[in-house]
Amino acid sequence: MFITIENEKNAEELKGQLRLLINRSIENVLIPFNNETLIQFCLEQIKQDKRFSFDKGFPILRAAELADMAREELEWHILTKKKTVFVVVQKDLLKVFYPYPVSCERAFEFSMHTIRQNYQRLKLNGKIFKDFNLISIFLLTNYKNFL
Amino acid sequence: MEIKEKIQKIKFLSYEDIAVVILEEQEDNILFFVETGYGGLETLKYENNLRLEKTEDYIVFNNYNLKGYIYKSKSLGDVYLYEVSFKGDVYDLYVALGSLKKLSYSELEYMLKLFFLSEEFTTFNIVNPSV
Repeated sequence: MFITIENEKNAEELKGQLRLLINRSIENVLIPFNNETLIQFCLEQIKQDKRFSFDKGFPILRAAELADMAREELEWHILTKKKTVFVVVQKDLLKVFYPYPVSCERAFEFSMHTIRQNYQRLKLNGKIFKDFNLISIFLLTNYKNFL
Repeated sequence: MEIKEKIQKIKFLSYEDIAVVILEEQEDNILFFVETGYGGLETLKYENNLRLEKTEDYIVFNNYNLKGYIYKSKSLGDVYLYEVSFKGDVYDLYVALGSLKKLSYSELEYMLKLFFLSEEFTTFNIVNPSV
């Protein structure tokens, strides 16, 4: 399924508006969330906006990609509001959760800003995460020093 | 076949962010893969208006179930795709391994080995260490 607009004109601007719509509502997403509930949440927001439709015009985004957009905007929200994320270290990986990991024995509180500045994000666009509240995964090179 | 023509033949599969990654260019063939996502080839086909010409039986290969398809390009003929998925703790990986000609069992094995060396599969292994 595609998120569509009336015609190709202003497609870039409306794609930006779609992101803004997600950004403004993402802090209200139900917790815990996973890929499916993130997409469902975004679809509900979009349905209320008459500028957007589903499979009825010019496609600007695949519905499956809404979860990626939601995670990105949630991360931006965390950054701007300076909220704390929860980090789980798994070998060379840093799994970043917000708010808290649902099924995890040991999570550390961290600043998203610090993580973004110092560690490499894995490009996992379009992947469906199985962990609840997992928003991103970073690759650690010196995580022992970090902790 | 000219390289340009081969690339064009593969390109029809690509859709925006879905990248077609070339594994190896051979004299008479190109081996490649495309990440299909959860919806698999059916979604890819729907979104690209592709025609599915034939579905073959699953090929059981070293614990992997590969499903073979032949896709028809309007102007350039057949492309052979072998769908395979890998289950992980964090996420599942869905890919279609592709070829411009039908592959033998040993050629499939070779393509799978090439895919295991790719960045996509390496990342999958890092993120899903228990696999």
